[in-house]
Amino acid sequence: MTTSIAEGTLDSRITTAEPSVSDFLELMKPRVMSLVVFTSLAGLFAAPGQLHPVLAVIAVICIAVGAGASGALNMWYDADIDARMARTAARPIPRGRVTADEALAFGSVLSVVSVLTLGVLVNWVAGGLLALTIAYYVFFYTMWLKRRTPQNIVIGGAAGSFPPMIGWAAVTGGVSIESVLMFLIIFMWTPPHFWALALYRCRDYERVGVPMLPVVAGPDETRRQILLYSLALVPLAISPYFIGLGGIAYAAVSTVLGLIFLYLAFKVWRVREGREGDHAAKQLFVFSIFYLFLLFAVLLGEHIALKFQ
Amino acid sequence: MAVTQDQDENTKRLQRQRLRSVAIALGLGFLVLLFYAATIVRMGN
Repeated sequence: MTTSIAEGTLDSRITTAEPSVSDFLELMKPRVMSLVVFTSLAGLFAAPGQLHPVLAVIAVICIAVGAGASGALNMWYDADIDARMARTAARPIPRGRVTADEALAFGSVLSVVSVLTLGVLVNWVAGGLLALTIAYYVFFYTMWLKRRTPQNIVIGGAAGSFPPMIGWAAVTGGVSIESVLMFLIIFMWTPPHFWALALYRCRDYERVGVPMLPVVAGPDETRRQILLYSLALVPLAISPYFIGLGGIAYAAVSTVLGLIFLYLAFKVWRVREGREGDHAAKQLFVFSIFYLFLLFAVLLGEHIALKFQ
Repeated sequence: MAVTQDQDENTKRLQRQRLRSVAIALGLGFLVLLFYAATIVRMGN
């Protein structure tokens, strides 16, 4: 053994035991996958037209596996910094359960299989968008920009915004204003969500040299950016009602939740010191998860109700 | 004592290896099933 995991360095040959199936499942970031499944379902049901239920299930599985594959490739590339951050030190590679080479092979095979299966069995617009999402997340975000720019979260957020567009494309075979709007909602939601987390977790990122906004520009600038993105997000999240993508329930929920979101973002901007400052950031972080989940749940619910009327 | 521990480790290693093989087989089988189901659906359209 040439290096020690505890010291924060990594050797792809280090393993303490044979990896189990659950280690590979963990590589796929199951929690991220569940959010991807949920938002892609919203795109799938909101899209006009019909997709055979078997093909719809295949589409969702492929999108979930593709997301899992990019998660595995992200863990492969980021294994060195994962080992040195409290939040990620227990991941399969830093723990020595899976070697970096195994993660690379696993992620690559799943990427190819998910894209080809979606393309061949559903349609190639959806397959192409999935390929773009994986390539964007792995090459553009993880390998190129994550460690180079404080805008990494804004750029990386685009990868997480594609699933509803892929779901929509699976049904319609194309891209439209409605699917772009769903993309934009997640895209604008990501920076305030992650920067709220980064505000009270920035020491971890500072230690490994990832230029998160609070580390590079300072907490005050981060708070200002959170407020600005929130001001852009809230009207954008209400707008599906005006183009007929969301109904009256969506309009009501997105307005009420949007006002709460703005209040919490404003609180993060105002309360800057000590525990109260951290508490405000945590409140916004937790609420932002609930906010996005509920927006898409209502959208999904409305369209399911319409389809089964 | 050490020999028993080695045997235990070996058994666990083989068990994990077998489970991984089963998971790969199930994954491939599921993929075949997906292609089969999608072919039937598409032929029906």
